[in-house]
Amino acid sequence: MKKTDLINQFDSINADENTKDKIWNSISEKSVNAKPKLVRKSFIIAAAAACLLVCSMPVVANSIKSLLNEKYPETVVMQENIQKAVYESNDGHVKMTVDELLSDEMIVLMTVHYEAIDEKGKDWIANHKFESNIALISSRNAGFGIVPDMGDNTIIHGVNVSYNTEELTEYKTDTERWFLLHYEASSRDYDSAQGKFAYPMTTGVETVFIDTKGNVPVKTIELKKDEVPSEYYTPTHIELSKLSFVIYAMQHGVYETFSEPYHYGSRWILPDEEYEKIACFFVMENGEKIELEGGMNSTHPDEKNNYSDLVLLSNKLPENIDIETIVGLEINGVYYDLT
Amino acid sequence: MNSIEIKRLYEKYFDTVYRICFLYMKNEADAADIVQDVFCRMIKRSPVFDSDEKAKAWLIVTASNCCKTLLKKWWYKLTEYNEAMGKEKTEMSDNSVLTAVWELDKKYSLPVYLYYYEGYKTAEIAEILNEKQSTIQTRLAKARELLRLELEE
Repeated sequence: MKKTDLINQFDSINADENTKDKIWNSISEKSVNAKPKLVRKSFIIAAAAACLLVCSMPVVANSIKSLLNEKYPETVVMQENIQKAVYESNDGHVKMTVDELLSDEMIVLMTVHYEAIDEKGKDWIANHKFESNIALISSRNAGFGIVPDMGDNTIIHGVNVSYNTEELTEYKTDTERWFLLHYEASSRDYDSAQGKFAYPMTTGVETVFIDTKGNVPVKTIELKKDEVPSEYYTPTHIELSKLSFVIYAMQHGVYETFSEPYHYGSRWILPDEEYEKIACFFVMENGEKIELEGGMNSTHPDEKNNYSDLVLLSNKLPENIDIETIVGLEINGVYYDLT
Repeated sequence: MNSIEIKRLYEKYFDTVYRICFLYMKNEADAADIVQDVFCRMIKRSPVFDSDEKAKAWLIVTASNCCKTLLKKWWYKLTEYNEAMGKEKTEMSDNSVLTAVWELDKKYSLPVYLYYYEGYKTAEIAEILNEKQSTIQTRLAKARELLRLELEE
């Protein structure tokens, strides 16, 4: 291989000008839409009041009691925790309803329903493309963004966020469309459990803050042991719900920091090997060990968080696990009793 | 940092950020999304840089972290999800050199790009990626070895 060949080929990785402009337009739109935090909070109160006014459960597609249960069978055991008729918006042509919400503050699942009210709405429903023009954050989504309101100009906890929207095209009719929103954070370390929900209406994109605190119970269990699974950190506690788990730890000291004035969003405070070698298992009451996978995140060293500074592992709960049958946690061979 | 300044950095470093995202994500849609995410973070956090080179380093690290985060997500790993989103790995036909780089593990491809294309020294790459210099040197050596083997096949 010649170096010049390599350089020429890297040169060929390019987005066209149209794509470049489109991305910038989305960034600008996001920037323009940013509002001071105080304004947001007053809007939250208004949104909460609007939520209270919604008193009737909208009609879901025939014979389907819960789209969340339908699409995520593991949520059937949390049926009682699903909030119904969460939010409704009506512009005279189209009605948008957040029908269901299931949340443990780390994972948020929502179903959203659009229904035409008049002919104009019917035309809009039939032709509207739920694309990047109305996504605040990501053009990957079909038109929704839900992000934690972490405020501006603050040190943000080490929370990574992902979200996606899927249109349930199998339920699409001439007058209705259905969407499934999936939001996932790496921990609950954000300032507010208010998700910013952006949704298109015939008049343009509307935003509202939805309370994503949810009512899926979360257990916090302290992890105590004399020995440590790594020379770099000591596990402190685990948060466990029927939707997710988060294992927190305290680091033994920042492994490496960047030289100032760099201001990186996150700092990898452990050597690569620590991320790669972690072996973590739930130990079930029948003795079975279930390997856990997930992401590791550190908080910003400047944050001086006094309860944990490392999310050792966090993720959706592995499938087919009854959390009542988890008796222990094993990290790099060190066993923690969870009973 | 005002919007004019960010726009200037966007114009100057868009290609760099896009290429890094593309090397990680292997499809145009995700690369474009993450470029957007990276510059949105720049607007939100308003970091202070004393030179464009520092801004560039910030963009590289942030892009890399954003890609890593997305790739770790369980739902992203689902083939059905990517199929539903209409995302397919971009084909690299008739381009054996780039295909070979493409197939490398990310921990090798990014140093290769930064070293050979962007012209960073190994010490600089180490600082940007928060790795030991020896680690970067080892990865570059390993990448060179892998690329040679791949291209000979």
